[in-house]
Amino acid sequence: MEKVKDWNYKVVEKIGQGVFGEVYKCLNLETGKKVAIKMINIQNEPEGVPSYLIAGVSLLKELEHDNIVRLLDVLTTGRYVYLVFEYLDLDLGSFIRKHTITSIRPHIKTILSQILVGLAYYHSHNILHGDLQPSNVLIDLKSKKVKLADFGLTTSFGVPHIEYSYKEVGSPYKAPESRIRSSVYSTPHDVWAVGCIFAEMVSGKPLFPCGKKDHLSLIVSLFGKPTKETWPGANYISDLLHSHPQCEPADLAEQLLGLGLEPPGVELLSRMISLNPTTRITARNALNHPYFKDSHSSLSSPHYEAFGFP
Amino acid sequence: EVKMENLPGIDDDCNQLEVAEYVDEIYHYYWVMEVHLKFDLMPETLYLMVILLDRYLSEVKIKKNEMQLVGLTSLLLASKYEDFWHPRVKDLISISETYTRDHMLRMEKLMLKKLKFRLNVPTPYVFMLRFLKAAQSDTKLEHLAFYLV
Repeated sequence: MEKVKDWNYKVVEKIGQGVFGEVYKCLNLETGKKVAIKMINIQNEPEGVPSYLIAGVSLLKELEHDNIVRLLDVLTTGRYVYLVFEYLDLDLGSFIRKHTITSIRPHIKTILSQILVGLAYYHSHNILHGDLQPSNVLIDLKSKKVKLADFGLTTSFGVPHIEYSYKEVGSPYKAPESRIRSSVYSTPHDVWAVGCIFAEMVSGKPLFPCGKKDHLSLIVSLFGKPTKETWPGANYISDLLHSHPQCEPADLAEQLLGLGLEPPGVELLSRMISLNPTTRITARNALNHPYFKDSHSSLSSPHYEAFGFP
Repeated sequence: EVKMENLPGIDDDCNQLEVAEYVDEIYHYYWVMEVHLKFDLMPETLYLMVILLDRYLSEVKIKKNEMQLVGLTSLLLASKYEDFWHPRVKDLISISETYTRDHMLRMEKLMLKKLKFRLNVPTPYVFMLRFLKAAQSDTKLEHLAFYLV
């Protein structure tokens, strides 16, 4: 890392390599607090600081919420933009990998509800997360807080965001509509990802594992062959769907019940991964779902009330 | 809660604009407005540009020969925030013919630093749209309103 004026941080270790640059765990020498610093190389940008960064940082500076990783500072040099975030030790991905599903089970409601509170906050500010997955859901074990991180791909959805091609590549947590030509992608996209994360916490493995089969085949085998009625997007890829054999939907509900998920949880999950984005439950409505009714966890907690739910 | 950092200082010591310069400023304003029209940008961009320019000028003393650079860079920043496509740096510097890409990119970083990366400020344009809607205005009133803003 190069020297920056007013640089108060000491590098502890490199913790990641993202699409946009490297991430370092650092120590704030003034406060003694740990921070995560994202370095974004802008040296080779002929147009200067990229617009996604300008819009992204402006938005992030507005976002102040218990369930969202805070952007503490932004520093620039000739070559880099440094984003200084608060640091958390654990992400949900490693949490799931390191624990058995029975030991995760008692925490699912707390984690899920905090993800939804954070997401509802994002959405109430017209911001999409766009890339939710277990690795950017961070957990602070001491305070039992869950925080959403990685605005990397976050886009404000004032302008409808249109995808121009069918994409098979990309995160396995991406909603089906985001892979389809000319479909508008908005807040339901994030809820789908939360549904996938929910299922992963219950079963201990990804709902749509990447690798063996392509995403579309996985969807067909889970939901049965979609029709125009169950999924308006099916219209656009009828030629792709044509090659898929007709099949019975898998009984996901039964599997999850077998894994100890209560029936209201199964119902909530089915509404989160509804193929049709217009009928998918919103983050805010999901929080009022009966699944959370008997939980003492986050519904009565102060940050839930602070967010101003009626 | 109004955050002071987002407001341009008008009467305090750091305000450097004296009368002569103020007249220059007005000329300058019309000049950037023309540039704005040429690039076919969102109307919001123009209003945001003016706010960014004001905020920057109220914090930093600049030389007269930097005026165009600050103006054009404000436009670049506003457009990066607001528009789907922002004008290329190459085209912006070709308008003034005195600055290089390096000048503009350095000014951009300097401005972002001074503005603390906060570009999401409400502009008069947004309020005007809302008021006009509430007033169920006709075209004539709309034109008058935007002329006055």
